[in-house]
Amino acid sequence: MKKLLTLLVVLVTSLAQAQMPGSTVPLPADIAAIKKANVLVVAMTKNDVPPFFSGEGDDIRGLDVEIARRIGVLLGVPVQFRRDAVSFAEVVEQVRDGRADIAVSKLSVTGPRLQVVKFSAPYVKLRQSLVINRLWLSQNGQGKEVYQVIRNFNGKISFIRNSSYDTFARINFPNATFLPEDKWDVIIDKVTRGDIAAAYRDEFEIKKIAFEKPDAAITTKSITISDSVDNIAIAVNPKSVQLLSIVDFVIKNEYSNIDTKKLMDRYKAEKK
Amino acid sequence: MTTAHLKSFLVSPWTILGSIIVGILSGVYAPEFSIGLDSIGSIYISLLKVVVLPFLLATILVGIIGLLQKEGSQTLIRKIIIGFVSSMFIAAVIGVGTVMVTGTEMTPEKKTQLGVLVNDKDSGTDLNITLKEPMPVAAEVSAGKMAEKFIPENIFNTLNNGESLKIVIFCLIFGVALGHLKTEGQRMLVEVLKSVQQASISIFKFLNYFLPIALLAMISSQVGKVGVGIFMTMFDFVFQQFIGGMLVIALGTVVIWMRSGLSLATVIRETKETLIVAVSSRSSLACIPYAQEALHRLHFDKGGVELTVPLSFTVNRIGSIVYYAIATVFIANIYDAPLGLTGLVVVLFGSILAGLASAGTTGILTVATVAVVCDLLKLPSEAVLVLLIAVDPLMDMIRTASHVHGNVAVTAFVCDKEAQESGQT
Repeated sequence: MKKLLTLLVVLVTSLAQAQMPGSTVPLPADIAAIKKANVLVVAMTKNDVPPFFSGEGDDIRGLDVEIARRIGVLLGVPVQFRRDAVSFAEVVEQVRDGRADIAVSKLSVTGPRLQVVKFSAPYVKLRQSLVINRLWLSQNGQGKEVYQVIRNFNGKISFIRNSSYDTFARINFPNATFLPEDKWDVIIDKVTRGDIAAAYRDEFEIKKIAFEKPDAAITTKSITISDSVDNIAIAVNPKSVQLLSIVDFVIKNEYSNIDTKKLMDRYKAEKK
Repeated sequence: MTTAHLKSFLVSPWTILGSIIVGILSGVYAPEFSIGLDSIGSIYISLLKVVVLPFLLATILVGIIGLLQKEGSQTLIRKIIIGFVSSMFIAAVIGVGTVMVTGTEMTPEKKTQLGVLVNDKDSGTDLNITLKEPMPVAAEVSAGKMAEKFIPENIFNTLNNGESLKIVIFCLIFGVALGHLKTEGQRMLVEVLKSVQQASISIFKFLNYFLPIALLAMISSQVGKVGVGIFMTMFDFVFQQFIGGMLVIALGTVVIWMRSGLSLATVIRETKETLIVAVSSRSSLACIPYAQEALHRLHFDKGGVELTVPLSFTVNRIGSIVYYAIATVFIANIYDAPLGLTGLVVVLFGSILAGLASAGTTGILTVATVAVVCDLLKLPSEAVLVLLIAVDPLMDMIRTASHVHGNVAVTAFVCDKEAQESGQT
């Protein structure tokens, strides 16, 4: 009887332990690895992209930082931000090679990237946008409508090197001259001066110009491509199936209705 | 104070000047109150305009019939054409000349300030296009479509909409037909029309007593709406427009003076009322009766004046031509696009073309016609248009004043003196 009671106690405690953190019941491999390391490594580019992520160390902040921290809380591990990637493409590589667990770095879902990593559900859905130099447009319009000039765009177009727009530009504007740059500021300066005809990025970044460089409005014109998409999502290693479902859960529960306006409000609040 | 005293006080130039100054001050220091005065100005303009249409109709018809029954109508028509073409050309030369003489540089600082203004005014007007999905096709503007806006289809509709250009064209056609009738009916109709004319004039004269109040309301509400900040940023442009307008007015005064054979002081005294109405009402149509009265007082041939004034005011867009020439060079400066000699020649003729294209337009539509010249030079006008529209309340005053005074001068050039004419025939 006493033996039976002891057995029952052991059984109940072990069952109870299974429900508690630090359980000995085996976890899926991807989650187990994170737990073992006791850190969630989150990749982001070196260049700041406010209001998604900006700042260093304890000062790091932004929407992407918030989302990453929520995922960390759910996993019960601290978050470590890895910010040494010089391009968006390198961020993806870090996730693919296992140097980072996830990339929350305002990443666009693109064809080439889908071949090497898994993407979560998008947490921001943007459209693609162009900033066109007005003088170039007048001199090359030949009396045509703006949309016709854009559809057959044959000028110099700039975008961030190894970003999703590198991919989009080559698909959408095959007759253009491609001039990738490392810094967005440099691109904006060039299109304002008329060194290039157009700068290509998402509608939010294009709207941001009005705040950062309001005088650009006289020399440039913003054009949103309404039948285009730029889905922003979190990249996860293809083997990390369980982690992906956790990431999706966080996005669907807490970050499912972020639009350009909300991003702009966040951006303005950060600027203050 | 007796009624006579009050009347002379109300029409005194000092009262007018005072109300302009008070209007500007009130607009600057009490913008909200001043904007509230807007409706007083609008009521005044409406009252002026409501009599202008019957007056215009009566005046042109009487003018044409009178002309056809007199010898030398062909001379007048030839002179009108010469007067229009040469005045348009002179206006374009004045516009281009003004910017060449006062030529200012566009510094990066100024460009930044202007850019910020465009950004403030233009927010939320992003262009949306598609790459693959079909886009709505815009209607093409053909020469036929351009001509359509000159041709009246239904005179009652035209009168209803107050489309002055179409009214003038209708009156020309109808007047010529009436003029060839040698019936009792025609004679009676002319008498009726003359009564309409006289009645309209007495209403204008009565309305004149309220001009100081209306002037104060109109100017203060305009200043209150626009503020003074934007004029500081666009000082160069505003200054050039002012100089251009002044040159037209000065040259016009000289022409009227030489043609009238009266003293310069008399010419200035007789034409200043028309100018004041032009500046305050910003409606050349409303100035027609004042201009005709002034030319009568300067003893120009009544028949000729009654035909030439409405015709020139609606078709011969002197003020707009000067405006377009200056605005185009301003735009070229903003975009660092040096025009060179060829460019300036294009501006010269482009402005005349734009002036012709702007016939029948008012307000923002008139400003937007600057695109005609910009397209010729492959310059973008869309962004700067925002700035031009923002300062237009003031520019419209200058434009209307130079337009009205310039065309009074054209009329003086075209029409003979009454005394001389009777002596000749």
